[in-house]
Amino acid sequence: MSAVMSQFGATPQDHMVFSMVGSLFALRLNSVREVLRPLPVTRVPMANPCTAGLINVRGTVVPLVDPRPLWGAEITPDTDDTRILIVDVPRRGGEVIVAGIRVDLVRTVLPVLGVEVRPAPHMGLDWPTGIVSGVVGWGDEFVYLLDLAGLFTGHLGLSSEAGGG
Amino acid sequence: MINDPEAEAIFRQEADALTESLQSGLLSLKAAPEDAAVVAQVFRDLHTLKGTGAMFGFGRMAEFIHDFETAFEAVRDGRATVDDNLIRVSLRAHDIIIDMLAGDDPDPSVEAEVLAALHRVQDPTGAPAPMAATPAPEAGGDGLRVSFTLPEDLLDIGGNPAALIAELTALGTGDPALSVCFEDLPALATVDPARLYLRWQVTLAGDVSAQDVEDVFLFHSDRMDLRIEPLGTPKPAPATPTPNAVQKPAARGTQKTPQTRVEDHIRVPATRLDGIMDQVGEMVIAEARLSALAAATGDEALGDVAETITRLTAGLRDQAMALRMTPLSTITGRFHRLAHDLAESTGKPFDLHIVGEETELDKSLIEKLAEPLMHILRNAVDHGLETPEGRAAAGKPARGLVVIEARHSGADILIGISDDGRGLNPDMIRERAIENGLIAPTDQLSRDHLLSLILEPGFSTATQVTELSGRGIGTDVVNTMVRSMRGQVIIDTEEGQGTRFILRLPLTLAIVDGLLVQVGPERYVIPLAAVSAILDMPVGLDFGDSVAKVLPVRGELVSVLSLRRTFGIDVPPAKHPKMILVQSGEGHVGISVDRIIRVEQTVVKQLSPLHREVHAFGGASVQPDGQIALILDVAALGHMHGRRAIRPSVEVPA
Repeated sequence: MSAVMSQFGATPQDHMVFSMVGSLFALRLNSVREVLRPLPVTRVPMANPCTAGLINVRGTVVPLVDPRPLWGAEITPDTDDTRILIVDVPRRGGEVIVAGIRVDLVRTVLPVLGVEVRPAPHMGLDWPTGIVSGVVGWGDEFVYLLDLAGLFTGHLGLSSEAGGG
Repeated sequence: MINDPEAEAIFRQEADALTESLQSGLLSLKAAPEDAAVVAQVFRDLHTLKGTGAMFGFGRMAEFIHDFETAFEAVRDGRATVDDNLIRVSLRAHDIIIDMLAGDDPDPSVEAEVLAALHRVQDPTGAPAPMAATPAPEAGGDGLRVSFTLPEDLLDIGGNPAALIAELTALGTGDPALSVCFEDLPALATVDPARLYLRWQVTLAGDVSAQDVEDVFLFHSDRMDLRIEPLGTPKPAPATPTPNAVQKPAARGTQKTPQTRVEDHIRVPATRLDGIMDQVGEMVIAEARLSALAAATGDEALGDVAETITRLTAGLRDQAMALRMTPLSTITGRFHRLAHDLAESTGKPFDLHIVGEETELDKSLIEKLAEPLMHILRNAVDHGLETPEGRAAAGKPARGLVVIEARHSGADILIGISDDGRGLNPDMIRERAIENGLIAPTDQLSRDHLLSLILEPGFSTATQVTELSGRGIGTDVVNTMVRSMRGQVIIDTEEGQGTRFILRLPLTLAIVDGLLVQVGPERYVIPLAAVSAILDMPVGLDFGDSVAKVLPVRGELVSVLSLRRTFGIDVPPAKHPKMILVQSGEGHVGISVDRIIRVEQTVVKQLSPLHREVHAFGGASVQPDGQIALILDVAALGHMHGRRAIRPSVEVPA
């Protein structure tokens, strides 16, 4: 599945809306491979606290990203709503890496039109810079479009070049 | 001609294996020209290739091989000897076969030249014979006289003498002449009716080759006396076969030995293996769910079944993983061949040593590795090794040495290619890099960084592009290819002493033997290859707040690392912790763990690029229960703990 952002235009793009550390985020549906219930997590000692977990997805070892330490948020136990999104993170050269992201709740699938997307504000947000590519209104709430490449290369130590690691 | 794509695919694979075996046979003959076993092997390879080739419509190739085979028949029968010239010609003939298999028409002049040279082998005095037109002497146009005894107990092992004789006589044209010799028949009273005592003599007319006859007796040849003589030669006394007898019974024993009856092999398309892997992966998770359910319900019968399924699934998974692993030796024949060609064309005699050929890696990686490795080998000889004169001036032996060494290191495979040539000159690399605009004259670069510049596109240290290395691909291609396999090229050089290229490749599917250990609630795998000893920790030793302590172990002062401290595992230590003594660089490092669970064969899963910075681990292993255990990178652990820098080096034997 291609994770390259195609143009927003007149056709709505389906997004998955989920809640993560108290805010609503969205990812394009075709960059989400699957949604899983919490799995046993193997700790990776000496790793960045956000990426210090591994999960076994049907025999494949997948890194699990827990965004809470990045926000400086408190670590609370999983609830019935906790889910793991298995996502494709794009890298330069068309390569993708597969990772899991722990989210608090998956809300819905929302069609988003390009014209609805507004630039994300630079200030006043709770989360680190460069992880949001835009914002759309949804009822009386805001949904922030998550920029996977920005999150992974900007904050989780992934180099954008393929191969080099 | 058989026209079935699947059968043809199998033929192609078989032909590849045969040509590879042929080539390696020729190269080993170069070193040991007298080795009758290898001559026989070469002959068999050619014969099989000819036969199957003809079946699949490679008639022209079969004709060509026929002449090739005839030359080696002469060698086998002692009518010709193996010399450098024969090897050179044979290697060229091998290349022509490869071309023909690929559907290319070989250059007719080259083909004629090679054929003429092959003809001279079996008939050194004669004029070059016309291509394949004359029946080769092996066919013995006049026919053969075959004299044989069968193994006494042939009937016991289910053999059928009548069928063998029928098969044999069918080879000739016209009515075969069959005679029986009774001289070994014991007295009637002692005859065991289930034994065979007779010596048979069959005269076969027409175009029959000795090989055809041998094929009839293929399964009994080591336990029977078989003599084959062309008709028209004076009949030798039966008891003393002349040295020229086509088949010397005594030689049979030696011919058998090298062909240590390999296990039966089945060729299957790689995609089917991938299919199995996918299914097994799904099965592992389903099995984990089943086990969890069984444990939750507490139903004993269900638990039993779940346990069995767990065991079977684990076994199946290991087997499936192992299916794709291939030893490096499957491609090393090409390196020997290339080495031979390089020594000839550059006039730099050298030995090629390959160490660790049995190292296994995923089949797809092996294929991709061949090209970069050959390129580095070419470079090492072309640019690295000096001429014999240059070597003499440098006080080195006239013959150069190139060593290719492969071994596993945690989740990686290391392949080193070292030469004992002139080495790289960092200053010259710097100059060249500035010339080519790769760096600015003001740039301050570390030595390693400087050396790595030769991997950049557009960099070439050789002032003259040679025929060998200058084939339009440079070392940068090696770098690109290795990187595409998520690997890394490391260069190590000592001016005047030699250069070493190390390819470090992660092996998604590598299987290592590991020691599964437990610290608190966590499990880790330590590659068994690194483990020197397992000891008890000294009673009452307290690490306190420190990560490591230096202890005397077997007369050596060893840093002992507490995994609990190193990994921040926050539980009280076990009562009787163990110390695992591992090799790290040139010394030992101790690793203190709570408990040793078991030794297991584990499939190494590469860690994600997200964990590139976590050097302590070389990969992860999925346990039979679905849990993940990280695999320790022992060298990196030792390094982290302040031992001297441990470089991923492959030791070159002196």
